[in-house]
Amino acid sequence: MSDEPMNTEQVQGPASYLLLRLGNEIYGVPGASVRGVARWRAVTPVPGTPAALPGIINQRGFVMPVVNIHPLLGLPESPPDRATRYVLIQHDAVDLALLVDTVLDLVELPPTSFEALPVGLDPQRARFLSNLARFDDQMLALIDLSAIIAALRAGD
Amino acid sequence: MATTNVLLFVSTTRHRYVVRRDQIAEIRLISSNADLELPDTRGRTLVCQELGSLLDPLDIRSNARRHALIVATRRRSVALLVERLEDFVGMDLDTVQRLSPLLARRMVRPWVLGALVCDDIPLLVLDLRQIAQDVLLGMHTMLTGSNMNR
Repeated sequence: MSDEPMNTEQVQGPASYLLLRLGNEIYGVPGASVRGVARWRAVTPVPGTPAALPGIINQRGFVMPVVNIHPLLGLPESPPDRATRYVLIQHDAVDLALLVDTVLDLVELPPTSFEALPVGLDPQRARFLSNLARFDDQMLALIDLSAIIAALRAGD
Repeated sequence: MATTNVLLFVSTTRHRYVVRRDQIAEIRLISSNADLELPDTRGRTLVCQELGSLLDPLDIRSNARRHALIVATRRRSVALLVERLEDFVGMDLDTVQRLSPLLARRMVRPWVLGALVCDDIPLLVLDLRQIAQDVLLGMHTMLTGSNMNR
């Protein structure tokens, strides 16, 4: 474990996280920000936008931007299949559909499961993560949605 | 009070788009290049641009027979070429949803007015006037490296 301070916002009590798979890795997004999960369907591309914002989908009459965080986290992308999902997120007054390879489960993570990010983690990836967490003998990386939205807004 | 506008649904080889009829000065059927050599209503030669490949470099025209959406600007008229005209629909512009600021801020050029859900699929409503102006200014090459280029 590193000496890096943990993100105290995440460790004050048990918190729900939606576990999902990106590439071969398991990540968690805060359950409080998840509004639903939808099956994959083709994105309507928007010209002149970056790879992390490939376009829009219709979710029950509401047009939502799709966010592909694979390029932000430096993860390889695979073509969509039966397991591909959109996680519908509302966070920091922004609605978005997060493209993920698989949705696994909604779980409660106790404060004792959280660990700080290792100091050796690639800074490009670390900036989009809040903590690590141990769950069922697996190590999860917890996604910092505020950091992702801020990066998308700023064009980083 | 909401105002009704005529929206035109058009197709390129790969995509469907929606455009505002009131941004188009003339619609011309193009059977051969000679049809594009005819001047606009003010006698000016047309600047021609395939709309499909402008928005998506992989969207290459597959048909010689096309339609020109002629957009008049102060200096010149621009003929934006599409494969098919599908439908004219009178519609309240309030039904056009604005793109999320997350997306709108990141577009290289402001060519999209919003999106319209049609058969459960969101279609982009294009700002042809802005596109025509950018074509005249040579700013239409700025999309290289964007999503549509992948």
